Amino acid sequence: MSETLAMAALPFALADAAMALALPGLARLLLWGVVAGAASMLLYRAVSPQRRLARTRRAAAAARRRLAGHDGDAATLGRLVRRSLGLSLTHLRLAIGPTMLAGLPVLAVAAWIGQAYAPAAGAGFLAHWAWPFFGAVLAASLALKSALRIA
Amino acid sequence: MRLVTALLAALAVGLPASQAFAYIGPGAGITLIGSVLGLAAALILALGMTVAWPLRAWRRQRRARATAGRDAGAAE
Repeated sequence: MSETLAMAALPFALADAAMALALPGLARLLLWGVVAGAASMLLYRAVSPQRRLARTRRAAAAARRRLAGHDGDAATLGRLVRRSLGLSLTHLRLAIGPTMLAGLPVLAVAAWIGQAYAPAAGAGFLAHWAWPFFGAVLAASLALKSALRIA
Repeated sequence: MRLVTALLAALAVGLPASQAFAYIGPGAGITLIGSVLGLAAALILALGMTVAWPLRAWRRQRRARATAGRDAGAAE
């Protein structure tokens, strides 16, 4: 099992060794965060039904507006409530699977950093690798989400 | 039967997992938070509109009666 993990970690270790020729530890850590965040968002965009998600989100917002402005009979109110809740649930159902899957690249890099990279950093600033790493992941994924208009 | 199978599968996957495996990517996670907030907004709105409906219906009836009374007064 540990041999399999070591084999899986080899590409990360090789890439990090190559980067270490030019970059200090903190810069490499931030770069790994950016790479993991970008991979996460690109995976999310690839596996999620983007058009349907965007359409459902718009329809759910419109249904909520119609419901909020309703001043009529109870039957129409019931229909509007059902439509609003149905669309919101559909949006959640469409997003939940791809979101879980999109966490995998970040998990893989974080697991590798936790096992191999952080202990080598000693007791210095890089021992607290999680803050800069996940900060870079968050910044990169949000920037990509905004730039590519990912739904 | 499908529900029982799904529950057993979720338990089989979920029970041996450590905290790290519950991680959700931050960018996509925000999308999921948006979905959950949308659902919460829909639930609160549905509840609020359902609770407020009798009051709104009563106000509507009162307005209709007042308008009918004014129209009848004008016709006389």
